[in-house]
Amino acid sequence: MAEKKGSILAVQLLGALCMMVLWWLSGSSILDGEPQDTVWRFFGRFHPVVLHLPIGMFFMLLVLEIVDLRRPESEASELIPLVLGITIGVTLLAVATGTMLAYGEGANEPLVQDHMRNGVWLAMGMVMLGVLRTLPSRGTYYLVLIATGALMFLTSHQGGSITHGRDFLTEYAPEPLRRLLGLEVEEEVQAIRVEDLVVFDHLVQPIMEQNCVSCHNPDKLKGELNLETFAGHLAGGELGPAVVPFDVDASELLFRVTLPDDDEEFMPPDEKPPLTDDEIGLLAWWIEQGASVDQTVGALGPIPTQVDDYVMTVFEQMITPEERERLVEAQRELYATLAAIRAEHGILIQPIEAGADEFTIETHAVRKAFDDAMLHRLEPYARSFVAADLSGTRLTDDGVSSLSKFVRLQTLNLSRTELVGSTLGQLSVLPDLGSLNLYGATLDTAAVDQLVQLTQLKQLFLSQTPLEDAETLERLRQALPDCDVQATAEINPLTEADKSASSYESS
Amino acid sequence: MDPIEHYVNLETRRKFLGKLAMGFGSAAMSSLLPGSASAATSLNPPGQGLSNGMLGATHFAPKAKRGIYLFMSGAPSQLDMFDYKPRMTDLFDTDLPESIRNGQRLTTMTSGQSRFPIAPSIYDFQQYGKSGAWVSELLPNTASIVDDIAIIKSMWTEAINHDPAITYIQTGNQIPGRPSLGAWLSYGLGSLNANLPTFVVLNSTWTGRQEAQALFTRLWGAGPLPSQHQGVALRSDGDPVLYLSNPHGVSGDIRRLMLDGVSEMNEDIFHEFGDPETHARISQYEMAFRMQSSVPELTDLSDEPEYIFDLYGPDSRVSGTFAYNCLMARRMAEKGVRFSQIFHRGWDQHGALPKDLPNQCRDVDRACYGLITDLKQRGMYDDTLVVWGGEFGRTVYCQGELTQTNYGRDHHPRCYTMWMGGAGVKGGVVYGETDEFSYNITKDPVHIRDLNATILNQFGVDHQQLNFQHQGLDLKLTGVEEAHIVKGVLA
Repeated sequence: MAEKKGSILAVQLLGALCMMVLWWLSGSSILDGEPQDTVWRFFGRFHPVVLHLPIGMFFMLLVLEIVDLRRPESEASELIPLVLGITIGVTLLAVATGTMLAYGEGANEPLVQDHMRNGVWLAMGMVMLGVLRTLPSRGTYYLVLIATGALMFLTSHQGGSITHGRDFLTEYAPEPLRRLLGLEVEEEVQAIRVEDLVVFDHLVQPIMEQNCVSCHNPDKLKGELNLETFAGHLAGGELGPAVVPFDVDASELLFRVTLPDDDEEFMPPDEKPPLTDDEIGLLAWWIEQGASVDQTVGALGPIPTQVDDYVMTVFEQMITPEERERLVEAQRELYATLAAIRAEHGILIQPIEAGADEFTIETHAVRKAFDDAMLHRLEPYARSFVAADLSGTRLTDDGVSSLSKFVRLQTLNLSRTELVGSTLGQLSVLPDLGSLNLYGATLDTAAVDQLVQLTQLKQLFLSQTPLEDAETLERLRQALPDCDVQATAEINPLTEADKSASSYESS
Repeated sequence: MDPIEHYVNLETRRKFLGKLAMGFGSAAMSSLLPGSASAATSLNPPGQGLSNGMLGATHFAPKAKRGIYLFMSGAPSQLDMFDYKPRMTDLFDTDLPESIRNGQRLTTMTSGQSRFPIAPSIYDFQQYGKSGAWVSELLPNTASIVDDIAIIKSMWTEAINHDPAITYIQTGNQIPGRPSLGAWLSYGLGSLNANLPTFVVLNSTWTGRQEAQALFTRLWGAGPLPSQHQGVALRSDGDPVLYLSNPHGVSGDIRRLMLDGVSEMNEDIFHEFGDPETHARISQYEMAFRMQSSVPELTDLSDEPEYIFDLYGPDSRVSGTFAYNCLMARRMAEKGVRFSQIFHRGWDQHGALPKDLPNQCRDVDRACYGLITDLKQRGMYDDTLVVWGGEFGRTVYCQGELTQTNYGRDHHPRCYTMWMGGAGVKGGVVYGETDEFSYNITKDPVHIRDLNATILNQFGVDHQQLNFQHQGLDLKLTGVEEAHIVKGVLA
């Protein structure tokens, strides 16, 4: 009996000691985030091997306790101290290896910190169980047992999240279950598009951070210039604004980076690598287009080829291989679809340049068969087209409603068609439509009422239409002040003397 | 058929050997093709069925969809048309300073002359348009479009005789056998209208001296490119294409049946020998069949209204004239012919220039005006490239006897004038300068190679990247020497 009392006391003392170590560990900030190439890292990597033991042992302990409750003093009861002891031991081992792992690998993100703290508390709970089991009353023991079980559940889940990612378990959960759990229901993922890059955030600022911000930041403030923020660009420094929207020549920033590199004023100074031509081209383009803070690549004006190449390079570096693969796949599908349409209908569909997702339509080979119905069939892909040459086709006024779905259209050739023109106003919804060719179309004079609605136009060809009288032209030019309205009589008019010359008669 | 797949399927000897030696299949082969390289991982997949040409797609967005090249065979005299040199009047019949000629080689036609007397142009020059470009009285109508074109006064070439020079500018090499510009465009870009040839050649009558330099079909040939890319020369009398109509008693159905049979036999031959030219032959039969209906419609000018003939001048009603061909070229451009080239001969004024040159100018002047004005009013000038010029220039010194009213000029490759317009070319530009004798270039030289690179550029093609492997060479239109895009004439 005395022997048993002595071992109970030993357990309690050992437990108290463990508690003190663990208490210290739970309060210390041992994780510094620096990877260590020491033996700790070697031992630490056994954490994933060890950690499953406490889970299994604890489960066994629970089973034995339940059996013990039903049939006290059975064989199961005798096993409990042994199982509990092993559980405490492997838990301590898991905490030790886990601490070494996090310390050795230099992990200290919040999730790791939480996991470690919970692990330590879990070990404390285990040790406490060991001590409580020696007491005559079991009430507290059962309470702590349940609490420890819950803590183990949480801690193991956190550990799993660190290894496999937070949504590992729920990633493939059926949709109703996800809704029940209040998880995000997966929507159709829109591919990231290069047009959606914000010019300042994604293109301009990285150049600044790479080359300028080490001196021009709020702390150093060289030349009283802060290039860390957009406001800093506009506010500028000692010599005035660094960037003047729409005015490349007045923008000090561009002036300084384009000086000869041996100039005193050249930026970046000293031996730092100068900005590349591509980077300068991008900055110039951004300033020319108004140096906006939030506009996207797609929203800004026409991109020069050089800038376009640069944007593409940056974009390709930004996306993950998976996204890249997805983009390539999406594009391949689009190409295949359009190629099928082309093969079926004989319409010439071509990308505007290699790899583009903007296309042109030409209908020369099938113009006599091309009618409203055929155009209607292209509607699902209408967004892909930026130019359409439908000259001489059988398109009618009814077909114009289909055309109004081609929202990216920039150039539209309806010359020599039999349009009356009663529906042309529907094209006013095409924001980018710059050029409309109606040469020789059989328009009605009333078409002018439709055309005056197309205020977005830059070029309108009206030669050989009934709209060529001075009054109509004047009305159109009033209504469309930004548009070059072209009419036959005004294009390189001939003198009477010119009209008769023939070399065959004179020779 | 997709050209890349087409290429892959060609059972060429090289592929056969490749299979044998390395055992790679068509997948490995296709990755070696131009444009398809790393298609699996690239954001820039090739045309994938969206192209007729060997280029998957243009290298960059093109300004020109179509081109019309007005070729003045024989070398027009820049001194009497565009390159105004008023000081020459004072130097009439004085010797060309040796410091200007500088030992330059001459043709055998004048190398025996004891002296090289300066022959000033007898024609009046005036400035025209907003650009104030100088144009001689021989070109009153061209003068009215100077603000629509870019005049390049600093063209030059190495070749000094007609055949090497015209071969050079047409194919990028003085030695015959290379593909012509039009063939390259057809090969690289493909057709805009499968029912029509991609590259058409029109030969014109002329009213100057009738003894003129011959033209050869190789000037619009395909060289080692597949034969279907060569220019199709349309005749101006009778059938535009010989033997295109079905013979009496042969209906379209019978013709179709026959072609199917021939095609089948040709396929058998192809499988036996694997010569890609067999496919070229098949595709030409098919093209001829489609052209049976499309070409007569194309060349029938009866649907052109009066005002159009007024625009191109009265000559445009006479078949075979330059004006008629310009009108034809505009019709073709409108219907989807990618590239047409009109040849106008008779510009070789070694003697009696004042007698012949006005006729030559009258042949083309009004038609050039008509063509550009017509393209403009149709809204086609924005994407149709027009080029005018010859193979070299003419000398300031006189060949033969010099009088106040008569003179001749020899070949002169060191400087001459061409012009181009439309499709992203800046109007109202006069580019390059020559010395006061129009003998040497003093500013912004443009080699004919630069011109060809610029033409390809306007079609969205990088001249460095359009090539064809042949006999161990990567053939290019611009050859191996450096060529520069003439940015100064581009908008």
